[in-house]
Amino acid sequence: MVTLVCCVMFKHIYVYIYIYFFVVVVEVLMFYLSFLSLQEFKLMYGMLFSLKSFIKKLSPTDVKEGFLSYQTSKYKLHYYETPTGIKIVMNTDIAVGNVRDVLQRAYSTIYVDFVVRNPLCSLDEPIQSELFKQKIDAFVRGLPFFSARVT
Amino acid sequence: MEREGVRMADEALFEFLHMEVISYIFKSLEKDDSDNGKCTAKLEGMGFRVGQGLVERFTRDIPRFKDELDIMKFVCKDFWAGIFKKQVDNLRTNHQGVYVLQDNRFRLLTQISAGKQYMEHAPKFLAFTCGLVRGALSNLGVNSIVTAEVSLLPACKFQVMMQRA
Repeated sequence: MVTLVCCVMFKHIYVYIYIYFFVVVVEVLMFYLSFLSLQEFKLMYGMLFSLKSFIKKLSPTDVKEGFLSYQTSKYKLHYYETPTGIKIVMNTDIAVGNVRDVLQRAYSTIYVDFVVRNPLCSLDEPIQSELFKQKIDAFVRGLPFFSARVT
Repeated sequence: MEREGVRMADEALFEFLHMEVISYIFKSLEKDDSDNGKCTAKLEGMGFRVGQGLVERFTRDIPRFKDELDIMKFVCKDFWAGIFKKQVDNLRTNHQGVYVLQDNRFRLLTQISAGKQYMEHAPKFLAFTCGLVRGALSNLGVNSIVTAEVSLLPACKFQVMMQRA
């Protein structure tokens, strides 16, 4: 079983929303909602930040996109950062290919529409909007490599 | 100003400005410890002046209206479409000067929530629009009182009560 974590992080380390945990193994997927502790969140932020700068230094040419994803034997972590500093992370099964455009769509159609344009969502606080959660849930479920069958 | 399939920036501009106006007014009046009434009254007043100007522009080439119902239909169709890019979904009246405009997907509320969340904040976002309607009607020769209520976002109802002299 592979764990898939989808979380959206902000510029400031102490801010985060919530974490979806999906389990994706090519055809099998299980879904539940859970909360990451602040400590884990800080660790994750630190790891991604160091990875990003590490890859930037290592790259032989000028970095255009930078750190995209990393893969272990169990899962693959995809990363997308917007020019404004919003970071989107999604964990999937290793069989999944490049999802950069998916993450970009998630940002532009869901985050921008339901968080930035929502006057009651403060941009530097965890997202409380139910509508946002619904929309991102539906979005991930609609992805081609998401499968709801449970073994 | 609108092309099919292209999202123009002017929509976002008005939305963001509207959001900021509301939060600014509520924040600045918070220090005086006054109640919500003053804030909504201010917003409504602003909407009133904007509505007056807007209706002048929208009725440039349109002939005089036959009666009140005609005026209300104009508000529901052209006026609403000019501002929110859609028409009012339902207009009801008791033929005695009370009209209810129902919008099932009110443009300024769709991003906020799709149900009961944030319900207590919803009236703030309707005050300006109430003023818009009141200002438009006043410039068309109709004195009225406009109130709004919301029971399930993003649907809302605007109630217009005509004032006879």
